[in-house]
Amino acid sequence: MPIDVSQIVTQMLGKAAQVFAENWDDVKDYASQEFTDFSNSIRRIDEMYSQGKITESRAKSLVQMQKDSMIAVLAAIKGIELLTVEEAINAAISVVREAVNKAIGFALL
Amino acid sequence: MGGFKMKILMRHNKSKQVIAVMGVALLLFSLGCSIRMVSEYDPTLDRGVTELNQRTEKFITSLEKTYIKMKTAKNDAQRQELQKKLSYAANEEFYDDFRADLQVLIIRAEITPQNQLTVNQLKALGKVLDGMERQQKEGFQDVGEFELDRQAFNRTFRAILKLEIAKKRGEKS
Repeated sequence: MPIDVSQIVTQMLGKAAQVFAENWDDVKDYASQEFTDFSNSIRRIDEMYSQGKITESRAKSLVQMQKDSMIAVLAAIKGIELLTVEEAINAAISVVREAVNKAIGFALL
Repeated sequence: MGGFKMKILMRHNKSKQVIAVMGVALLLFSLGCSIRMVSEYDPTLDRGVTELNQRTEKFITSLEKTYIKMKTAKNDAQRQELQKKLSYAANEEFYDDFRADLQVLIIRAEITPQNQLTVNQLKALGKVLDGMERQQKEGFQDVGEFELDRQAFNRTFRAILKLEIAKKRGEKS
């Protein structure tokens, strides 16, 4: 039975949306693209193994490479999430800076 | 008497306001007026990773073409010659050079504050390289493997560059 890529991608996106809840919108498109690409790779490996083109050991090795690449993808998603949080905090600090400078009467900050 | 108390109270409140303002000011000074949760953009790392990406693409394409030629070779001599070109021994230099350059980038990323995510990404790239090296040592089994290798590498390169470019701030890519 062939792997259902769209079902896998939907499940992966669902899990990732839970983990990256608050900033999910910032990374959703990128994650969706990479999860689809990853799932297609897994399906291709499954096909090659099913057709007897590669051994079980080689199939496992190829899957491991795809999994290793996803570590980099998840780190990118996490980094972009942190950058969004950082941007929000700095925007808040900027508001405080204005208030402080106004209260003191000169550009202290 | 009541007016005097009021004046004292107002003076006290004013002092509290000044202390609060100074407290916030000190906090902001201690934060350098803004915070950094992720390292700054590093153009050298960007260039280094892009260069590895180009070399990898050329390497995989070259192997893929050689493999196809080998499979369609007209005689044993030609087949053996092409097989030799696909051997690990004939391509060991690519892995050594890649690993050396990657290690330089990892060290650069490690000494940069707030950069652990990029360090993890570069180490993941090393693992993808290990996977392809293992394949080549054992011998390629099907032409489809090259496209899978390419996908794993490109996904990793994209992720590293995606994060690096996002570090420029203000650019949601």
